[in-house]
Amino acid sequence: MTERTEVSPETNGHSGEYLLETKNLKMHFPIKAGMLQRTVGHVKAVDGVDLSVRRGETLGLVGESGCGKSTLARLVLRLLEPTEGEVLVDGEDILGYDRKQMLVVRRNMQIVFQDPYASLNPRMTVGNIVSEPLKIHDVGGSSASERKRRVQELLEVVGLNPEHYNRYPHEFSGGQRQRIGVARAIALNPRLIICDEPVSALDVSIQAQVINLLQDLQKEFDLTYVFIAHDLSVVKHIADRVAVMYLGKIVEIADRATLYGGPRHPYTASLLSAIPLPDPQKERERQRVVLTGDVPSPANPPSGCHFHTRCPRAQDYCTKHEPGLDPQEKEGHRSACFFPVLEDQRIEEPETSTPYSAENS
Amino acid sequence: MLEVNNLKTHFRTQDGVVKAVDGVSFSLEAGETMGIVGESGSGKSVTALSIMQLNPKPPAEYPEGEIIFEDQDLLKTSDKRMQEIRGNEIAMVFQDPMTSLNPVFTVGNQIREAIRIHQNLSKSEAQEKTVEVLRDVGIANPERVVKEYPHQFSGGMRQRAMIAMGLSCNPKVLIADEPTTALDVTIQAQILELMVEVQEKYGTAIVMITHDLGVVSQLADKVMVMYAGRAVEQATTDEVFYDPLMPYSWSLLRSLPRLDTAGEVRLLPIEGTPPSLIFLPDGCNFSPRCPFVKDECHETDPDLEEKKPDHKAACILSVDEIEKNKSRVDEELGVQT
Repeated sequence: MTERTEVSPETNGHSGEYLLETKNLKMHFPIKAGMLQRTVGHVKAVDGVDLSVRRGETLGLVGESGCGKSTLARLVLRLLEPTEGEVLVDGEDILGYDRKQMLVVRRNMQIVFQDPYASLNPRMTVGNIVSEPLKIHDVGGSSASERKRRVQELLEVVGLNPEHYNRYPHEFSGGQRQRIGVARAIALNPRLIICDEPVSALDVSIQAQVINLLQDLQKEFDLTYVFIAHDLSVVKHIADRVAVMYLGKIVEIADRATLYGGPRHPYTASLLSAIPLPDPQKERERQRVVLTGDVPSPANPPSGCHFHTRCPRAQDYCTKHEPGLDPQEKEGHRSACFFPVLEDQRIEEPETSTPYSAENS
Repeated sequence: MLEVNNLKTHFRTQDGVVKAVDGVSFSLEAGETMGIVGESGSGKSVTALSIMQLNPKPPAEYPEGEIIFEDQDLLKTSDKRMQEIRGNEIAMVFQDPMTSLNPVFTVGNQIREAIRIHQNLSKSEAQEKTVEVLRDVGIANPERVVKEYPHQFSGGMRQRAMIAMGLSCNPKVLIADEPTTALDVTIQAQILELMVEVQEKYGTAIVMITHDLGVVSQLADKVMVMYAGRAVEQATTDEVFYDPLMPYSWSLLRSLPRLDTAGEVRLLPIEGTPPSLIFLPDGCNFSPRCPFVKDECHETDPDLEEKKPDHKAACILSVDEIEKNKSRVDEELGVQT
């Protein structure tokens, strides 16, 4: 690799703990109906998310389809304008930035999309796809030959043959296409890469190739990842900290060992118990909690705690009050539940019907 | 009950003959669940469609093999007889519940149609039966739901409706082709639980096609691993998961991030991509990607042979050689076995 892209002094001056923070971020999509297209309601896709991503870490973001994971990713990159809230990059709110300032920020924030078949322009050669960010940001050399060299270097980094510079996306398999997407994302030496379900469209044997590639790149280039996936095993493999989303809100966040070892939120606990393990012996011995019903519509979320309609621990109290994302005993562990699953408890039965709080236990 | 012997399904195309299924054999008893595992394009679905006789002919042809269901060869039965079997005695649940239901008919209408074709029931009896099967698969308010259209259903409900349709005639064999792939894990758990309940109630034999090894380990009694149109390993579920004897099955297990060990060990990807089914590699189909490959592998095409009692694998390496190779790579990866 050549020298790292120079980062402009405005964004590099800050060295706080967090590279990216969101504060009370909301995205409410209006529902329009009737001849006059009046707004009759809102889909609360992201509904008040506070999230902070440390430099160099991988933050996993998990949840079922429709929980707002991808919308959150787009808000962070400002591909969507949020209804409310702040997105801080290096401590500065980028929502007020104009186009020119955004260009500088975007150089440091890239995204890898889910579907490698839809996210590459079929009419562009691989060379053009990967060099496009270089052209837009005018880095990696001004002449075409310098750029070509840089692109070939990038292709090699992601494990593709640099000779394939002139080929088109259809000539590649799914895994190779995802590598092209990764090459494009790292072309500008960004600091943050949002990976939006980067492996879920791939076969298992190919998944591992891409996961290993992402891990190697992180080490080599000191990258920070926000890794979005619905597959909790993949997230456990790659993430340092994990946030669980349900209906537009974060319901639990903790470091990997805590979240997978001792989940507090009944949703997290049931999600974990729902995943089939590739181990027949363990499968037979396992106690599984099967959630009933479907995820409610985000246009009309349930009252109180959004999860109470499916929650095996729900009490009357939950239907009337909305839990906050409260700190638990372990540092950095937060969970939004009045009746959290404590150690050695079964998920189904809360011990008392008085709401729990970590401070008075 | 169902016996498939040396089934070959080939497709004649302009570029050559695609050997989508090339010599697959297995048998299935009542109440038994067999998992078929493999990557996309390994021939899992074509095997299922061959049993149902749903491959379009041409281009599909069956140069060899037989599918014996209750003493008759399905490859040789008349279309008319096949109509009676299909959906009635052998039913299939497809992967994508969004596209396999007809959007312009109500769900009740579609299930009722299946029932009336196969069973001599009046319209109102069929309607009752429809409500009953929908209740069986755990759909709330079936009386109201029968009048709804597929778009009013969520993904999980549609898949339940598909299973209800599959089960409406109490089939002896149910073929489920990736029934939970399009669903979220919590919904997947519901559907898998439902399938187990149904099996216990009716003694249905299930063929579970999936690429998710977790689903197989949860449900299946035995497993067939497919690669490039061939069965490369066949054994009980425990044998395949704890002591795989085909390097491909073993590699698949090592390439998977697992909830119980994730993050502790590096994944072992299978390099390269599956071969084209028109131009298969020389020797063993898996040799270009195999981590244990030897020179002979590029010359000899191994048959599926019994390596241990009731454990078949297609590999020229002996059991000892495979075990040695496995522990060597495991040591490099840091896997505790």
